Amino acid sequence: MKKLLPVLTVGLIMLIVVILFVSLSKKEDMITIYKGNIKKLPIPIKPDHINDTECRMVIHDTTYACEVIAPNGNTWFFDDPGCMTKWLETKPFKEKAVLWVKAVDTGRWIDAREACYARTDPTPMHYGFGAREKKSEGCLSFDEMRLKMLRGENLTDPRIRKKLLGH
Amino acid sequence: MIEVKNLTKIFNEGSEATFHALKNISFTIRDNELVLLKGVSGSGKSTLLAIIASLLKPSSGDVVVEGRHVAKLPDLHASKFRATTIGFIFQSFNLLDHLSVSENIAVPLIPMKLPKTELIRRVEHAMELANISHKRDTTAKNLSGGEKQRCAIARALVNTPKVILCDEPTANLDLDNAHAFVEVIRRLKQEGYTILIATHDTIFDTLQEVDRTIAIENGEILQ
Amino acid sequence: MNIFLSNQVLIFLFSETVLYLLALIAFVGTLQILKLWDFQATTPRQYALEKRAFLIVTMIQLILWFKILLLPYFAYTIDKLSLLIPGAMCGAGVIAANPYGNPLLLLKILLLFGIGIWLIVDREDQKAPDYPFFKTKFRFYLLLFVLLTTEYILDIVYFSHISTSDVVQCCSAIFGISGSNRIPFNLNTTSLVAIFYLLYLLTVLLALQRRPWLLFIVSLLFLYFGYQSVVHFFGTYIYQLPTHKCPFCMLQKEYWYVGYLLWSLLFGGVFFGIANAALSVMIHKTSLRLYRLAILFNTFFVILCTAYVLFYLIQNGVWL
Repeated sequence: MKKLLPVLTVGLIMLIVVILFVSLSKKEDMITIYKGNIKKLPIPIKPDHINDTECRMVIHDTTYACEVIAPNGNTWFFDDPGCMTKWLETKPFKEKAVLWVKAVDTGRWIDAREACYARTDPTPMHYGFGAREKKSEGCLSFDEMRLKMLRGENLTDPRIRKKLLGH
Repeated sequence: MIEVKNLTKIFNEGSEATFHALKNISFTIRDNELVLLKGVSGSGKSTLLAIIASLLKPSSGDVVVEGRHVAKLPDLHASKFRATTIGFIFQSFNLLDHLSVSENIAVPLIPMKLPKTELIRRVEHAMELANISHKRDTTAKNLSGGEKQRCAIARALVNTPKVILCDEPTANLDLDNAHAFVEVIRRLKQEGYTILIATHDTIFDTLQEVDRTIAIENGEILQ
Repeated sequence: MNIFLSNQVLIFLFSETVLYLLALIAFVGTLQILKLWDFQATTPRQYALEKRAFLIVTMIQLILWFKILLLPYFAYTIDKLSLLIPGAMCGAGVIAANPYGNPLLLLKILLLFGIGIWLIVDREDQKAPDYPFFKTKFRFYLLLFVLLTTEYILDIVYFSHISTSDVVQCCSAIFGISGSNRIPFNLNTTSLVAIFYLLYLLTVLLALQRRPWLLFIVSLLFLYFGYQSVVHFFGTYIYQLPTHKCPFCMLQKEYWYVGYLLWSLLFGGVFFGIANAALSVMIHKTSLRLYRLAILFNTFFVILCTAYVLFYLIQNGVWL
């Protein structure tokens, strides 16, 4: 037994080293930005394979997903219109970017600037802004949503939450 | 052997109540010596015994007992030292009133975690030495003064110490019991114990087994 | 809301302040003692130093034992704070609320190991009647004091810089697939778990062979890969959700507070694994008991992790 222990020890060390070397030799890419989207069309989002650029969460559910396409075709992804608004505000191309958002009512990709936004949707980051293709009473325009988001007037503020939802 | 080197003890140092209990005392007691430490109350006898037993730390100086610097021992080691080397007989006996004679005698053996048979054997032997076997089951509070003293002697002997220290052992005994105690001391001396007795009782003056007397006054040894 | 108005934070900071003040007193006393200590001397100064040293050692023991208890309370505090911080679902978000959180947590864990080493050296020192490791342990305390001071400052800075209005990342952002804590070395889950078990076996073999320095290195690796394995694999079986990867959520009531036990076993096993190497440097001694404790703690840790996986498999018949 005493002679076996050193042999086993060396064997284990070698095995660990081999596993590490084999793993290091592989490469794996993660999608955060998509390049070359010259047509500026929405890129299909495969759940659990792309992360939100702003809050870095994995996009599991695309119900409230958004995309920002810069003039050079670089495309960024978001799971919540609130995240997109926050991120876009600091970008120099914010006026020129093409913005896509998933409409909750029709499930289609629509121009985010043309969409109408509800304030009390259960969005992934709890901001509450859910896009609608068909306008309805009380929903906000893109600019109104953007202003409210940047001023913090969203469901993450307990007072706004209480005012809009009652709890 | 007990070596006391330049021992000083000051109580309440730095305050108005500063008291020099011992002042630069030095002496040596060889193995198997019976030494009397004579002095009036307040001369420093009890303080000296307490330091030798490592119950008290000195202010300066050193005490070496059986090769160990007892004044430097940390608390835990001092307790172990006392348990294995010192047998102490106090003036007021310091028995546990609610325990029986045999239980009082067994107390010093508890930390040693001896097998039960060995513990009983040692307790029986100590009771025989002190002539208190017939009172083994009597509660300590129901003993007479002389019986309490003999119980205290048995307790001091149960862990087979090298050194026996006695602090005014006859102060609370009548004459008959005091003589009985002196006989016990004579026997212990013959058995080879090193004994130091702090006393101002003249009953020990006639004890022929006494090797030496150290006189102490106001914390100093009188030459 | 002012973060200092949380009861847990107040209790925590108050406790830290009291302990730090005691540590400061012990530090001043330590400097004095180290300067003048001469155990062979029988002078009044040396006896006074010995009395003071007994007091200081007692104080340090008290401080360090309470520090050990405060670490799980710190975890409990930041978990409770997650209810106040927007975006935080557990302690992960609270720790990441500002740049001071992660360094503070790492420092606390490092201090925990240092505290353990000091307590062992103190125990060995007190076994002998002549304090053979006296100066070593007091010098080591000076180093610990520097860490305690840094920790105390970081505690204040960290808690005072937590904002209750800024949104923080939740654990799936921090520990998820594309979060900042991906599996290292490009490992997939299977390889990671394989390395976890292999490292565990290695710690056992090295402890049986009593090799302090190899065990030191492997224990640190086991700490790292153990942590990664819990986050990326075993934790998902605790949460029974393949995408829930977080070392903090398991500290919550929903999961029977199992995180406290899990991390205690891992830290304990790693500590006992590295302790003998540290002792061999500081006091030129090792302890068989520490090797045994390392095996014991690591084994219980591995059993606990594996039990969740097996339980899920038996219950559902599939892997997550």
